[in-house]
Amino acid sequence: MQNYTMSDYLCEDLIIEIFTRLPPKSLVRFRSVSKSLCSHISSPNFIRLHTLRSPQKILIYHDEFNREGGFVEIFSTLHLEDPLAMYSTQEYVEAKTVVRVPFSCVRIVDSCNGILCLLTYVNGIALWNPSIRRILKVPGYPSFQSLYESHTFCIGFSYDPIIDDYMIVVIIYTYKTGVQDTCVYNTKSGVWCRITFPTCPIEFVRMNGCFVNGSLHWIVKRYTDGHCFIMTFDVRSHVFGSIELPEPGSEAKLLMIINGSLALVSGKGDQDWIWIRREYINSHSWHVDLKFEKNQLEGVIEFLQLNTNGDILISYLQRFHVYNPQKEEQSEVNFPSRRIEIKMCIESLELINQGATVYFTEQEEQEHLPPGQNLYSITTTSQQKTHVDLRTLSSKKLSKVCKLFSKLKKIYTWRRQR
Amino acid sequence: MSSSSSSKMIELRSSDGETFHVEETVVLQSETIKQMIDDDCANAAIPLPNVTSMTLAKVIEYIKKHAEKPKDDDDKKVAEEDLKKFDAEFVKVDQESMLFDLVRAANYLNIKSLLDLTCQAVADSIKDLSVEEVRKKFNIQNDFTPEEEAKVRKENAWAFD
Repeated sequence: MQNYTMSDYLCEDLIIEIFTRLPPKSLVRFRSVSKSLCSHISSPNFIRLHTLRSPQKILIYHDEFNREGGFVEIFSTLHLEDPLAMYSTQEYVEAKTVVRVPFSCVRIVDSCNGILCLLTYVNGIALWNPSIRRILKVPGYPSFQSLYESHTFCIGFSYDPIIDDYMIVVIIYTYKTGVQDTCVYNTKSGVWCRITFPTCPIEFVRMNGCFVNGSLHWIVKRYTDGHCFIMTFDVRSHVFGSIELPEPGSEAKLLMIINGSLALVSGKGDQDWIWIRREYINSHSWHVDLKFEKNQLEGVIEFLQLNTNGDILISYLQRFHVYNPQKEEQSEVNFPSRRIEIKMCIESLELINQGATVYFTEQEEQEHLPPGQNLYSITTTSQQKTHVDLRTLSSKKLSKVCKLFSKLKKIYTWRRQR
Repeated sequence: MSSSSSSKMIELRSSDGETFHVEETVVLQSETIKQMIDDDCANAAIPLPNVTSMTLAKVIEYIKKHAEKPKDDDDKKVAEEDLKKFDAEFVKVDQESMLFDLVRAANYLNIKSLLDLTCQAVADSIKDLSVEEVRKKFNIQNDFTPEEEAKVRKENAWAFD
């Protein structure tokens, strides 16, 4: 059934062919063109094709001062061709897509098909697609009021292309008794369900799971003898498994994905290597991709393969290096931000039919103004209400108010006024 | 563009009756024509009733360029860069109708890389357009009622900034 007439030039199929190559913002706008186009753009097939055609980008999560002296959290995206090492602050902030984060974020768990799985301060776990400003709040984790008050936990974010569904896995454990609870959340079902976990007491070396080849991967240590291995979780069958390290007795530090393959940073003595498992199912296919000098990877947090020319971003606690193994060049990158996380991401339409749209107006985004609802009320025990509009305060006052707020928080109830 | 004399020539006829002679190795980039050759239907001139001579000339320019083989690895890098530049220039056409014709021809002749290139070029040219401009460009009838349209616009208000 054709709801709209084609021009002499292009039939509906070709219009769709062209539209799958548009950026998400244009597509969200063009949903208003016609009913038929609107339903095409929202259809699973279109969203899938669009995701597959979207180029990889570098996503930088950072914060900046606003005019009032407070901080705003921002996502900036860079194209892969952009040489990160050459970037001065001005360039990376100004040139690219910049989206303000609509909530305070603890950390990025992972990115998948343009969706970020975030741990947030107020909303717990949330899925956010910054390209279409869409957020899906994940309902509370079943066992605990708040994950942050709980035991140690690890978390993984994954996608199953066969059933077109996103999955979050949370494993809660303590060092001595091992895993206490394992829960899985699917976006389609919208509920958490508890699954059984193999009994062996383990501890996790890293909180974030690495999703590749239909499974999540964590580096774990057996509590009894300190044996280090990679624990796997098949997201479709919900079966746990294990992969042994390529170098027995080495210390595994990080998992990552290089050219679509599982890769591992591990060290022994004063040597560090990056191993790549070329064929996922073949345990003999591990090979050393890179060797590092003594202490070069001391304190490393994350590795990212940046672009086709082989640049690798090495994140340490407070600094970043871009390393090119072919040229054996290393340079430090400076970001003017208190905190920063860098991920690979695409711009997609995923979640367009789920969750809610949350965004700042253009003026708020550009000028880094606090959002319109940033008005807090403090209710004291004597029922006296004090309204403070954060936008009207000078930076000095703002920091005073912030300090006051955190002190008052324990005594008074602190509510966000709608 | 060197051509080996041994290569078989294929004759193509455009919708307006003009004939073009292209080497078989070059023309095989079109899945449609490849199928015709495989089916032994290419002994006489292949009629292409959907493609005008002007468009066909452009398509042939494209597939000829893309059929060039680099001699060695060093040459390969240079050739890749060269091809990128060629592609960028290729889609800079004066008239938009020409770009649409190329999209249609690439689709009909089933030349995947050309379809990718031309569709991306159209996408790049329309990404900042307004809703009204898109309707006009693709001749799409607005079948929303004013209330429905207002609702969809409101839901997606941020994308109109």
